[in-house]
Amino acid sequence: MAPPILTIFRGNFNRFCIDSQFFQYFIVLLSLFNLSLCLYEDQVGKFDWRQNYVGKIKFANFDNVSQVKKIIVATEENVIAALNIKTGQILWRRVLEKGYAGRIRAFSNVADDELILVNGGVPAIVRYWNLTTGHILNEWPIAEQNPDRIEDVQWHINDGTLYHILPIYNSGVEVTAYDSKTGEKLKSRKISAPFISQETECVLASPYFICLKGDSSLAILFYINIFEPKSQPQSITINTIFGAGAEGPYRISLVPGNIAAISISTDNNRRKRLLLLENEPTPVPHDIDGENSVYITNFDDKKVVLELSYNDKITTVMATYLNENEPQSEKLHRIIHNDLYRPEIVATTCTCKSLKRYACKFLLSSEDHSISLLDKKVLWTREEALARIVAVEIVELPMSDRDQAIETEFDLKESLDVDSTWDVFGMLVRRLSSQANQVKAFIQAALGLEPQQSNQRADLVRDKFGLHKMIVAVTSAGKIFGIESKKGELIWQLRVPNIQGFSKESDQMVLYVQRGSRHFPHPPQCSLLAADKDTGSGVIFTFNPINGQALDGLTKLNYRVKQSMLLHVTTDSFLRSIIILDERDRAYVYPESATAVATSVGRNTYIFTVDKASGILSGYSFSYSTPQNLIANKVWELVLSPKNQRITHVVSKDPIERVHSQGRVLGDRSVLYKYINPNLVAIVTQGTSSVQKNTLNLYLLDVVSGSMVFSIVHKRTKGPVHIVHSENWLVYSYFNEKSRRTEIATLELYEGKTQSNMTVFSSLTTTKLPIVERQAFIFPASIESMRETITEKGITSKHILVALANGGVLELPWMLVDPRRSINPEMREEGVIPYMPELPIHVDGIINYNQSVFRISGIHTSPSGLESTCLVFVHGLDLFYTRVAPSKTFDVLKEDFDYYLIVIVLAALVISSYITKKLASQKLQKQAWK
Amino acid sequence: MIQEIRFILAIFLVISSFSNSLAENEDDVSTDLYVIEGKVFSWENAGNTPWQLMTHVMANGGEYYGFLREDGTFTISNVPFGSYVIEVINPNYAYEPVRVEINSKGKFRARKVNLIQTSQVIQVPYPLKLRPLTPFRYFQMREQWRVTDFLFNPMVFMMILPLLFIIILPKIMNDPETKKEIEQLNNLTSYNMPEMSEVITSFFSSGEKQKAKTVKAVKKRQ
Amino acid sequence: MSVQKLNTKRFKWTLDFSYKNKQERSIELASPPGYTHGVALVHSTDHSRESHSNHLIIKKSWDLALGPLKQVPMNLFIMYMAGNSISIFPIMMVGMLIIRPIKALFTLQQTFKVIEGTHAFGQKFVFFLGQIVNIFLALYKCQSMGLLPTHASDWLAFVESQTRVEYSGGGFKYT
Repeated sequence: MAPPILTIFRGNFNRFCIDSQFFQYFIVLLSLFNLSLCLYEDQVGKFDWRQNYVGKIKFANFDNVSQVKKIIVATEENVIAALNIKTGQILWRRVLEKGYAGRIRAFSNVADDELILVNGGVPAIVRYWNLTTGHILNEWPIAEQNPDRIEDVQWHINDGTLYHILPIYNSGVEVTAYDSKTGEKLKSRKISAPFISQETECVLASPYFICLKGDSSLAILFYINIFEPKSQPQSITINTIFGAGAEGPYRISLVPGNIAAISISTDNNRRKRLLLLENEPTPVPHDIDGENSVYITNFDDKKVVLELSYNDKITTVMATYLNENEPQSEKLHRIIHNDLYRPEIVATTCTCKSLKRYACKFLLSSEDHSISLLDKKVLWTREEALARIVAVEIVELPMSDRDQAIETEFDLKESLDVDSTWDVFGMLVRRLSSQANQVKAFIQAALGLEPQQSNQRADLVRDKFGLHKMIVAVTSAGKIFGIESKKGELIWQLRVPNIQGFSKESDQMVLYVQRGSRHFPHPPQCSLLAADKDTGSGVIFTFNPINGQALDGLTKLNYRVKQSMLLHVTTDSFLRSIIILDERDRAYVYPESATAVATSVGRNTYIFTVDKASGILSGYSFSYSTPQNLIANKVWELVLSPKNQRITHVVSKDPIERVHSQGRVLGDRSVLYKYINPNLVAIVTQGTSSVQKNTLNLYLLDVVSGSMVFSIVHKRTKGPVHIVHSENWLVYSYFNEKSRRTEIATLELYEGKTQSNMTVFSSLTTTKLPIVERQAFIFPASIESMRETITEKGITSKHILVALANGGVLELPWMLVDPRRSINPEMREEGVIPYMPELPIHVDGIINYNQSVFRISGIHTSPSGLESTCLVFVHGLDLFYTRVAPSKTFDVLKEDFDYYLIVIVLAALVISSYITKKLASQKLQKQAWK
Repeated sequence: MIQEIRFILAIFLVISSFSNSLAENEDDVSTDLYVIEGKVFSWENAGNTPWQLMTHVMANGGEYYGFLREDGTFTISNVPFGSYVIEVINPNYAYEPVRVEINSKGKFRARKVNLIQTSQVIQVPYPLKLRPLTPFRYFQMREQWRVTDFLFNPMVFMMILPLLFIIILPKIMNDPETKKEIEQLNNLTSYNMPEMSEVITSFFSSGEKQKAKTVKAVKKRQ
Repeated sequence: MSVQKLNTKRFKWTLDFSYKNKQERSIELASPPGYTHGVALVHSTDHSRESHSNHLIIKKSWDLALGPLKQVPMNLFIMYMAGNSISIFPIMMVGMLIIRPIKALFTLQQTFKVIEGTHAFGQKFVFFLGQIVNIFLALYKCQSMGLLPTHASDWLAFVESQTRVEYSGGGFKYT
């Protein structure tokens, strides 16, 4: 009896000891984890900045009516804003819904400090704003009868009445009038105009509705005044406008401005003429070059046509006064300015200085989306292309010239004759000479004499911790910007003419950093891969990301690019070449000279491509390449039939990422080894068939061998899905339709308690499938984008940056979404907190405190010189940059390190120890005398 | 009889045609669009600040927006039936989100958002009245150096207390009465441990000792 | 006899310094304080003196040799009180437990230089054994605190990351 009881007792005692040990560990380690990720108030603005943008102008108007003179703009990004006339700063800005629902369709002229805006799809919403304060005054929806003809609907706002004009083919025009402030339907009228058909090109230039019929020289313009109840359609031939000799094809378009007019272009857009439509259609017998943009306005009762021509950086504004007899032209401005690029006038405001002298301000919008104000000279420019950034890379800055010169001392390539100069004496001579040079330069700088020509700004050099970097942003307008990261200053801009994104929907362009700035005599090099605007074939543009100069310029490829990849090995000049796969599966190397290097690693290089339309995923290998030619062979193919599912995301890991720890320590001190497969790609598809309507499938695919490692299905869910794939885990978010909440799910892959191969990971030889731990959590906000932090060596813990729809960017520790968070509260483990279904949004984890960033389209993270710090660049409609330290800055002293306190305490202790020593010896002496 | 049958047939036909049309109507998805209305209250001291500019209302994470009029009222138009989470977005103040459900008949119901127990209904008045809960506290206070930190530091305690003892104790020791008390205490606590060394030495050198003892005895008797 | 009776009757506390017989001397005279009877006889002989000093030396050296073993219970008690957590006090105690035996081992020769005796080797061995036992205790304490790298997780930091054999790239088709 006794022995069993004893053993039981001993067993329990043992467990108690272990449990108490665990408990102690848990408490100690939890106290070591500081889950608060706060900023201090005095750090605001020190290393973060935000820039607000509005986007490309769609409609604009000068507001001269209210007290504060401003410019009201409505943009393609569904934003209305008021800009300060003098500086161009945003006074107020309202961001409307994203995408189709917020698209601005009509804009009233500013009157009485109020603005009426029609936006939206089906049905449209009319919003009515107060311009001084930016409040909305009223909003009402328009019920739409013909929802599929929404693109043809024209709007006209006049005198407080909103006209909804819908052309009906072969019949006429339906005009419905609403009171613009209250939304009351006033009257609806149908005007018969049988010339309207699907082939005619129609334009509304109130009060006339004009259609162009025919393409040849027998083309006729039909017009009808839609506001006259008893009007009849009338016509005017092309020859009346152009005289004889005009040839098609013809185009008509509305001329922007204060007066109703249209422009008809002929001879394949080589010249055009205007037709004024105020009272009776009056052609203007003045030829305008087809490339020039036109604006028509009033100068004190005189009609003026402003023509803007752009030729190789020279912008010329010509004003043509439409007098009774002969149009007189006068050159108003001739400006050479870098910021203007094929500009158009979107708004003007003129004040009369004296008789015949007008002071006009022109608001110009360039083809590269920038907005400028012209008044004798360009007063200010806003680079609005930054509201639509497509690709970002953060590049390290080079060291200063002096440091680079020091580095070259030890550069092996510099010394041609290795034997003679690499002995002690030679090195001594080199060091002395370089130091003499440095002393000379220092004295020169100290005395204020001009040092030698250095074509870099003094402050654009790498700083001690590598925190100062250059952000290279490629925008959808084909403009590349170099932004320095400290204050967000635009250092350089480059325009790449005639390029566009690869596909219409996504504007995607690819930016590669081929060489960083660590290899001194070779300049850093970046390449942009895009498609040509006219032909759609590939285009490569190489440039230096530090000073923004083109290196090899624009190279046109005569094939369409299907896929590209940056090679992992560098050439002798430290350049990483790009492998490009064209539509016919032929492989090319850019630059051509690096073909040898590429083919030498061909047997280990694989590339895969996913076709959304056909649902086919294919993997290619380059192992059959000859030393002269890179050849791609298809080695595996996977079909995810588009009848059942539609591929929406393909996410691979960041190639510069390093994983520091190879396993995870469990509570019993054993190791669970991680399954780190660098060739693993996550593929998300959404169900399309009626059976699979609301399902989300996630597949983990090894793209070298084509094997599917894991797959999971989520039912009754819908997008949008955002994925973060890093190290051995995957975090993705989706919307759960059943419970109507956003959820975040995590997957983590492990090999097990032993490593299958300690030295090498090869996708082709592993046969064991990983153990997958998964968990799902509820997230109480809606997500716009997600990204993980990244550091150079991967020692710092990873946090996930989540961009929320309310304008904040949350830093979520990965520990909170750890799938090993146990549901059983007794089981404790190091670094693992118990499971709670809802993820808390800590307000102090919002890294952009109260600087909201709306409409975030992407977050880019980059490692810095410090292992503890990661640089974060958030872009969307606004730009925001900051630094995050996921494990707090463990490698530098904290900012408020009390140097003074420590020095004072040390001094006090030293002094007191000396005094005490003295006192003690005195006392001893006294005692000895007793 | 035949007339009755005809009558019944006619009624049957009429009813079936009606039900047919009724069925068709039920199959149609309601495309009616509704408007969600409410009022947002500002925080204290808002006063003349452009708080309406900084605040807007978002439904379902950005699907629909509502903007504030001067008195804080807002409308979100063109909303089909369904369930929406209405949130007020302001960079400085937090507002509690509300779930508004519009069923296909056009009835509105507003309740608090509970993401874990999704079917729990705590009703909230509709039209919505949204009040600010708390200002956002984005920042952490810097640790201030306080004198108490210095004094209550365990290291300091460990140094200062022995120091005090060293100073105070000799003063106590000089008093003869306390000395005697301490001596008595020592006497009580001291005890004699068995002399192990004595045991072993005696064990090892027992032979030699006996010889010595006999010599001693002899000497004594002299 | 009468003189004696007279003396004892009158003064209880007086000491009589008058000359007495040898027999009486040995019975009545009190010995001076600290004087024991047999020692003088023992000291008179060389042999007994020597063996007694030997005995003492050996006893002393056994004292030394058994010192560490005597410390074992105290060490056990210290270990128990220090606890298994990792904080300054237990670490200090463990440090002390380890450093003391090791230091004593290094000064083994010096300690035993003072004492020579017949059992020198045996005593040194016992001393050595005692110190080893102390060290083992300290190591056991380390093990129960989890400081010894006995598990796989302790060598995790030295595990190199696996080198990559195949490189891959790609994504969605561009055009």
